[in-house]
Amino acid sequence: MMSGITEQESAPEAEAAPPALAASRVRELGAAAVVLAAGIGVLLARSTIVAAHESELGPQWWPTVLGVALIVGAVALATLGLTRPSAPEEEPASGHGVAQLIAVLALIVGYGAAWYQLHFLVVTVPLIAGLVFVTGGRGIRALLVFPLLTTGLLYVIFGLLLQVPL
Amino acid sequence: MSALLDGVGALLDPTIGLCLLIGVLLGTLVGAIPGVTATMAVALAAGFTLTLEPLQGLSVLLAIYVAAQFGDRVPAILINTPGTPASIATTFDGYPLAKQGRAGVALTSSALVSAFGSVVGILILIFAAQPLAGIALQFGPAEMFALVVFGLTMMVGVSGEKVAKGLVAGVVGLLLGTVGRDPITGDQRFTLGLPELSSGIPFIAAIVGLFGIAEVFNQIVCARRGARPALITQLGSWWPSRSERRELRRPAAIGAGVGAVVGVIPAAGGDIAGVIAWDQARRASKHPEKFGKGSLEGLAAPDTASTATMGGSVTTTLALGVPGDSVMAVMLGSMIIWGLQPGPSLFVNSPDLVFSLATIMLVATAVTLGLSLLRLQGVVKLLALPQRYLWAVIITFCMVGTFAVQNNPFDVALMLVFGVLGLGMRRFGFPAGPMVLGLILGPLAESNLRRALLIDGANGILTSPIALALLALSVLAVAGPRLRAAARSRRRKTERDRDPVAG
Repeated sequence: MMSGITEQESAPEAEAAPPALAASRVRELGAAAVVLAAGIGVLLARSTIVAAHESELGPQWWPTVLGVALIVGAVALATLGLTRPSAPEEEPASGHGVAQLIAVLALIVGYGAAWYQLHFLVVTVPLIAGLVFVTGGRGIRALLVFPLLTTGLLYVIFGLLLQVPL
Repeated sequence: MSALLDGVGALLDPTIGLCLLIGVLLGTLVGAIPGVTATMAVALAAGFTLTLEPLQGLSVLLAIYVAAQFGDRVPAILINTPGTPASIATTFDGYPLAKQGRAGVALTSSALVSAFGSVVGILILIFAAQPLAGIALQFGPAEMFALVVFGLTMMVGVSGEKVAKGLVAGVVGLLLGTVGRDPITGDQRFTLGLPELSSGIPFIAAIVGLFGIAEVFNQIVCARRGARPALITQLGSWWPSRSERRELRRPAAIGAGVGAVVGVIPAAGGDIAGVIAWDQARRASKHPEKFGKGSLEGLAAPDTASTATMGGSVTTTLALGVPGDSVMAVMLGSMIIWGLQPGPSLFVNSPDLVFSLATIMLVATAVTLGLSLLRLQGVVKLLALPQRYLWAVIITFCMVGTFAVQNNPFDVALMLVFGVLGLGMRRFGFPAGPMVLGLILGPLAESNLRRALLIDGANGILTSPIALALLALSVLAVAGPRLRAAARSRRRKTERDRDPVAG
């Protein structure tokens, strides 16, 4: 079955490589700001740690060291971002791709909620069909046969062989 | 000699062969499924094997242990998702090799060096178990802390050219390692009142999210309407050429050495050994610039190291009665129930059992190697699936696999959070490797440093020869390459100044 899908749908793939992300000071400074906020957040959150016995090397000591290290790291990132901004080795995101990802995340969250109420087999088939649908799959084979086979395989491996209470 | 003959002779019962085969098949399967670890499979199998004779049961459990170390490389190489934590470092070069159309050579080479590592580990078990276990006993908090510092220097290597971002990611990993109960006092830290976080961030959820799910999310977010991105549709050549086989020798030797040492240290396993070996092989390589971009050397070193730890872990377990890793902890329980008491006296009272276990592991390695080479033929079909099917399969298998670790939906939710975090890190150029390294080593670093300081102050660390040697190695590991590069550039500059025409 899977080889059938393969032959039909994976044929010509030739596509020009999309451009890589460009270097950007704004992105680098944004990343440094997030790291700085995280470092400050850790130092502030230390107060939530309630130690049964106060001591110099208590439970707050190591997070404090790491929080300070994050702040130093943020300064280093900001300096490097201003002087030598680097570019991630990734393709740029597309609007279509972002929309697909949001739909995929929504499906997964819905699946998690439904799994509490219904049996694994009942909720997993629509999840897989939904994932294939939002990423462009169409037809009975993509939306019915493939989800049924994959769910069956999951159930055999995890439910029957590994005795996981699905 | 008679112990060797007795030990091997005890395995001639055909049911032991059958048990071994079942173990190999189960181990390969669970290794290849992201989220399902060898520990979980051994724990599940332990329930069934307790009714068997000790050697039959140990055949199943040890075969699962060995085979899972081979199976976990397949998803690491093909879909950038470690099958078990031991194959984290396999993703560094395995996946780039697959993207270059060299998945065939990567898979075959991985299987070959894994078998080599396994055999080296077993030889250590047979010939050096007692002296090595003695050295392991000298590792107190100061020595363990120094070892962990040495491990943390790998963050620089794993970061590639993004050292600052890699170090920041590493610190975030160390911070994530502080979530849960304090290792010394037991006080709650950063658990947000969630009981699920009391024992820390679930490691499997973190690595599956950061590597597998983030990779899928990144591919989805880059997808363009109507465009079909290039798939990994070819395995490329199947068997490594003579020059490629030669290329594997040095990193495999380094990996075997690292795995042998790390394996005998209690609580240090294949995941740590793999990352250390990758970095050591990069330092020793003539082409360090290729590491992380699809280097066979970068694949061979960690795969050899993580399988070589098995012999060391079994050594520690049998010689000291202390579990060498989490799988061994489960197996130790089974052995005690069977009336086998691991510890120094085992080598005196039952030397034949040591040879029996070593032989089981050797045969399991040979069978798994054969199975790995056969199984790889079928991987082509999996690779040729259109991406949307692969995405659906990876997402659902990662979700169910992560759930299966503790039967807890919280782990699945956390895996997705790490998937989104991993995606954000990739888009901003932060490598995930150092974060995972921080998460693995953070609790060990903190607990041992604090213990060492509480016991003896800084003197405890500064007066231990082992700790000092390891700390010196750590400084060399970080400063050495930079000093070498600076000296090289100064030499070039001097040569240019002396001969401006040639320059």
